[in-house]
Amino acid sequence: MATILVTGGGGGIGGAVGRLLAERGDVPVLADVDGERAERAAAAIEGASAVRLDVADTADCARAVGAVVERHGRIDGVVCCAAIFGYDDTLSITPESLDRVLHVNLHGSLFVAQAAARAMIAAGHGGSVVLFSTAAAQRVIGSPAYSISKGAVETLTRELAVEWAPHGIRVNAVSPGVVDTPMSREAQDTPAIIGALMAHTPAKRIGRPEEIAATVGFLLSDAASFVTAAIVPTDGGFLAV
Amino acid sequence: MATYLITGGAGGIGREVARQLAARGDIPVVADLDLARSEAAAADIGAGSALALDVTDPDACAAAVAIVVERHGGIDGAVCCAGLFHYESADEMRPSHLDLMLRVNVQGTFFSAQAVAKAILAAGGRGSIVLFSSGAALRAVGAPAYSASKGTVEALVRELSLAWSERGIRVNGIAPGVILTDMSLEARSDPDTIDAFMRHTPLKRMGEPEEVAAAAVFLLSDAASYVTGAVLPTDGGFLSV
Repeated sequence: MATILVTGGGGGIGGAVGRLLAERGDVPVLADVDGERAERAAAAIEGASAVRLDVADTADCARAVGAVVERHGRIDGVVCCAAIFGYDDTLSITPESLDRVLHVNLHGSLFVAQAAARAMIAAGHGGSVVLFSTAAAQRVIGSPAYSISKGAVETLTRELAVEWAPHGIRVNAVSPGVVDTPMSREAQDTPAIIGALMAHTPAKRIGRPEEIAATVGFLLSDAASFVTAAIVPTDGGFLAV
Repeated sequence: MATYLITGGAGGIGREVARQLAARGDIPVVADLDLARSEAAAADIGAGSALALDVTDPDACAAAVAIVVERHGGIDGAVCCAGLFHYESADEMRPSHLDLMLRVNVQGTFFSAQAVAKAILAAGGRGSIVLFSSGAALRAVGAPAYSASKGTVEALVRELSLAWSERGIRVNGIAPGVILTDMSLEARSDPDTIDAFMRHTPLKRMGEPEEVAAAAVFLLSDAASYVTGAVLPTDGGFLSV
């Protein structure tokens, strides 16, 4: 029975991760920048709890992890689903808009993982961290800030995996393609965009949040005991073509 | 309850895949060059069945699949574990050695997978096929024929996922690091070789066949329903360094 902090817990994939963890007897703590959204999401999942957390605020990351440990006695892992998209192209992007995306997607992954790892190491037990990349880390899809931030998350996955291996902490990433969540709603509703994305997806359909959560579940489990520093595409074959 | 062909199933990782599939109620058909070894493995597992198969013979691959379908009523996928590893340096490589590695590791994989896919498609069903790559596909380890063959297997993962995913057959790969099986005995006999591998492996140990098998079982399962065209490293972080 593991206690797992899930950032972006109020979102499509985060919620699916919470449901999967609860169904197998783990304790998901759903974190969201919107505290009420976190509470609503947790209320819908038996065995889940909630915490407000703005992952772009480094101090808030440490506070939230501390709250998890205080409430549940321990933390065994973290799944960093919290992310934002960016809409500027490279000729119009500003330092501020790049910073915003990086602070949520990159800093918000590193400093949550760091706080969790510090707690796991202090407690003397290992754990598991799952970060979120995306097919866009390896393919241009029209959001440079998003792709840059996720490319950095892939590198971060390896750095954390190597440094934390001696502490019994495995670190991996999932790389989804197009998933049916609010974040992709606009793309799904724009025929030209979804058409291009599906032309690039051998499975010819978008993913369901629970399908992404299933890879997270595998990576968190003992079945993945020899898997660390891996980026696991869950994308209907998007990266194969 | 699904039926899977396991090539190279009499020993090592393949045997462990068969064992884990049986444990979850699936039907593993253990296929190996040596029928007696196949039968011993199936008897030991206590489920499924056995057959002899030389994967380098495409007709034999098709015949084996026909036997599986007749015996068990259908086939739902395969795990292509049959493979060879030998050291032969770049300077001393003979055509016959390269040819053997390619015939077993590439051709054998291709035509095993093709035979299984044809049977699934003919029955109008869905399925999942797992191919075996290696960390050597992406990192030179001093075995040029082996590495070349595994690099080719990774390209096959992508091509076969493109060919079959839309029609319901997912194709993925596993890239193990150094695993405690007979295949790695030659490498493990040299302390300097082991030292070099362990320095390159964040988890600082070799993998157990069970750990690799668990990843293969995940890829076969419905939990991986949106995973196709992916290569999943089970290597203790070997590829990150």
